[in-house]
Amino acid sequence: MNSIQQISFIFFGLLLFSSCEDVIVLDLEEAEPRLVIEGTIDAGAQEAQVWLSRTNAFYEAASSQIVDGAVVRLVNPFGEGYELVQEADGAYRYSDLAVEPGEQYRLEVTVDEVVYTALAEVPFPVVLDSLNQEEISFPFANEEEPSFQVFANWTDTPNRINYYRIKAFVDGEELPDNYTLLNDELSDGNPLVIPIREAFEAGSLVRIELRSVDAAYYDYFQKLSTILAQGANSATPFNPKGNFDQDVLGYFGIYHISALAIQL
Amino acid sequence: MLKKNLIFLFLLISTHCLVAQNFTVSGYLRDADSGEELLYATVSVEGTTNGVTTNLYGFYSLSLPPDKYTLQFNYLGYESQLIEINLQENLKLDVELASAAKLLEEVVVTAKQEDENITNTEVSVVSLDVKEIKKIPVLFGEQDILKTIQLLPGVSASSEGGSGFFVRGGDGDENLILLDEAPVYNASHLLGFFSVFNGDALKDVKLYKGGIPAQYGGRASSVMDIRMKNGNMKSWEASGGIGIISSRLTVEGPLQKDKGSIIVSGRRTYADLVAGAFSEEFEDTDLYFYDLNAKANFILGENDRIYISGYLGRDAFGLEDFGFDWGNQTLTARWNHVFNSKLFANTSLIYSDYDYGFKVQNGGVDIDLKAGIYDYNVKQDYTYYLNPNNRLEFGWQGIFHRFKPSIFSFDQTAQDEAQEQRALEGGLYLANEQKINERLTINYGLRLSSFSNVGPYVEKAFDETDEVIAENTYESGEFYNTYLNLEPRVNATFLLNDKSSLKASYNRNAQYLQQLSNSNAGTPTDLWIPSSSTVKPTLADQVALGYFRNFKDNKYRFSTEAYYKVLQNTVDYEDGAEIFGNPDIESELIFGEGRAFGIEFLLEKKSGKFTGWLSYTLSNSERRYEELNQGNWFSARQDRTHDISIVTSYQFKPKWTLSASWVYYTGDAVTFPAGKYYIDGNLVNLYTERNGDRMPDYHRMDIGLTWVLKDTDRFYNDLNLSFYNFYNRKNAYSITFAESETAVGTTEATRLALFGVVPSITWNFKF
Repeated sequence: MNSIQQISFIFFGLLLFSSCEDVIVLDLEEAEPRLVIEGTIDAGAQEAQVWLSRTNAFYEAASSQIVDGAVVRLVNPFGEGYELVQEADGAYRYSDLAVEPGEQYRLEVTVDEVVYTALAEVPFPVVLDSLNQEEISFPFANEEEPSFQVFANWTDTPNRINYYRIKAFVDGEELPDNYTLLNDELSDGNPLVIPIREAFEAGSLVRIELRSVDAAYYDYFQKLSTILAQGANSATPFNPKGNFDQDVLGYFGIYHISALAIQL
Repeated sequence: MLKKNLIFLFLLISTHCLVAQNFTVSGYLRDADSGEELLYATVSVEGTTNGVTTNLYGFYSLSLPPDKYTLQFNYLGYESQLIEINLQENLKLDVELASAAKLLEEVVVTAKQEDENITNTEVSVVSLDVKEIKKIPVLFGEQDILKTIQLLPGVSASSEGGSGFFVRGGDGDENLILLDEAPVYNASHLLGFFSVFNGDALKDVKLYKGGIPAQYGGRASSVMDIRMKNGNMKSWEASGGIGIISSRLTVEGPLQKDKGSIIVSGRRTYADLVAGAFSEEFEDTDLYFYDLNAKANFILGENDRIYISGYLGRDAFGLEDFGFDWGNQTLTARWNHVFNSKLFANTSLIYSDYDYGFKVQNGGVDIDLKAGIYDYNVKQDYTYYLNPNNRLEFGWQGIFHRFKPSIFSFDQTAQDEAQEQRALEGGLYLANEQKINERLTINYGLRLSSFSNVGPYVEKAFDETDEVIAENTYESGEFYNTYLNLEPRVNATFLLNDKSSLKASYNRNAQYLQQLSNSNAGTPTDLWIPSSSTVKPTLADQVALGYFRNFKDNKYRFSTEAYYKVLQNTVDYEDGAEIFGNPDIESELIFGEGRAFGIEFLLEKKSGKFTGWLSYTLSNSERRYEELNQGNWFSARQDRTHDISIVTSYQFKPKWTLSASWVYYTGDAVTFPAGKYYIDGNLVNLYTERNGDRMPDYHRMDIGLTWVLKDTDRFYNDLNLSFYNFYNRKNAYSITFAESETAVGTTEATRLALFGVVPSITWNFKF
């Protein structure tokens, strides 16, 4: 919906030739640094990865402040624990898991003697069938260098609640802030044709990742996507809360990846 | 409780009925040129303080002991008339007043300046003279009552150039907007840049910010009562205007002279046609709105008159494979009946709807969404002129609402998930305006309102994680979740002397429909939902106190009012609510409370070559929800501490008028980031206190110049040139916080300013 509003909005603005955008400097409050935990399991690669960081001021240059020396443990449904080890890039990893769809995993992170716990369930994998493209006709479109809309096609698994996230990459670079999140509440078992919200240029290599995700992952990113739609049409911003039991930023989620690429 | 109150009310009234046999003079007050009824005009008995005002249909009635009297008929902008009567029996007296503006050029008449603002019991009321609005410079040269009202104290604009408004810290959906008694659910065109009200078709606009009379109900914060013109009863005429992005035309005239008339008024924008002329790319593009107002009325006899009026408006916005449209329709049929010289009645049958839809063609699949709200409304209002000291108003109303929720369809196959909801809203009221003595007049009344959901419906109950835990099935026609509310309304005026008065009011209002909006600007798809077992009706209590004073023979009017308003059961979305296409929207709602207070000042000059007003509001508006901001009070978005408007118009030559307006207000309360972090490689802003920050202060000046080319009885035309945002202030419409596109690895704030200087030119005519 937001994209529709934005299109109409930009369109109207263009018509008036009178709107303008510029960068301004505001005197912003600086909050106390807070802990951020981003924990994921790639069920296909059987790899767990946890990033621990702290927030910093909006105008501060450093992108993220990694938290070192934490204790990060993953516990499988049978009570067996795996210790994640911090690697050179700062992430904590464990790469020889044996997760099965339907199993529940618990992540325990200990930082400054506080234990943060979250639960997530391994989702069932769904396979991306194909990608196709369509030329976009739009006012101001340049006919010499056409742009394309890309569609991802797959079939939803019936009689099961499925959650999806689509990620798009152009020539190896991930599109930032492009959140396509879906559930099958209205389309259980249906074949799906989902447009990627981006106009791709001719000649680019587009890779689309279909992630079958668990409910916790979906909920977190769904909330996150509502605040990323910024501007006059955005909702009142807030800090999305994930599935950790303590008051901490971030989430713990599990996904399968099925990816295809298309040369435009 | 109700019974007791009613008995008490009658007792109060009856104590003042012990007077000898009186006779009544009654009739209608009309404009001498067009035959239009004059609403809220005053009729007074010279040499006494006795007097009445005409009602919403221009009717008055005055009971007096048998004697000779001189009656004075007054209406702002008209020459007053004195008529001598010898009252020995009941008398019918219809009076026509001539417009003072015309007379000024020919004869020097000092029309008596009105002081009704001092003496009437209305407190917190804003009246707009539709003719006066035309002098004020506006965006694109489109005159607009909603934008003019935003320049008055206690009323603020929802967004730059927008027609949405907030009254005394209330929310945007708490304003009842009535067009010929029909509720209008979305008063905006083109994403809010225009209102749906075409000034050419309108006669009178009144906004109640407080002290809402008992005859109105259903919204918490304000009532805007807009009346359409009846059409000229004397002769045919046409008027209109041609502007840069829209044109309008109005034709009106008698169906039968002094018996009936008709008016048709239309307006259409042609932004798409203009754009199409510049670029072929726009050929498949729709971007327009249109309005059509029509009204006919007929006098059936001395005591009966019928009116039929309608409004049809639609917005369309579309590209080749994507379309979006919305619109309102209203239809009102009214019957005025004078039972006798003391009892006037109006019966109305009203239909109104608001619907919207959009269409996207997506990979060969047509996706449609349609939703709307449909109202069927019956009401009766009576005015009983008991005696010169008591005027009773009573009546009842019933509205049947149908809410069609968002229904998606894929290739015409409806995905029927959300259910239609139905409800019956009722109202019963009694009010009396009583003159206690020469100085004190009190208008007191009670409204009993009711609301019931009506089956068929399957009602769901939700637990804390928004999962359905119970379902209740209701049969077709079954009533459930009935709410009853007693709404007291009191206004009092105490005359300090003939130049100044003190006024006070208290009102309670219940609101049974809420509009859910998840965006700052508001969109046509914002959903209206009825009260239910989960969603309780919003209740507002407001007290206001005012001081009114006129200076220099009523040339200058000054007023100040202070108010305090408390809201219960306000509704908002929870953080991160899933709204679009969600059949269980109620599970995403949270409920809280609100409070607002403020003080307003207004200084007006209504006559002479130099006219205008100065308005200042100092106010505060807050909300509290358990689930938001750690349960602490936070500023409502529309909490604008200071709000100043200056509106001036100067006729420096007989045919030239220069007008200017300047507005300034404290920036909206918003939430800015207090830090940042990264999730999945993307920047995420960290927030602390909700609405703890402020947008930059807003100010803007508009200038307009009107040149009357020709002004004779047969033909009138003028040219209007205006500049919106004259000194090109970059007011922030929104501020976005994101990673810099130029300096990688840094974050920055970007301001979007919507309008720079916008010049426009309009040619207006009338013949």
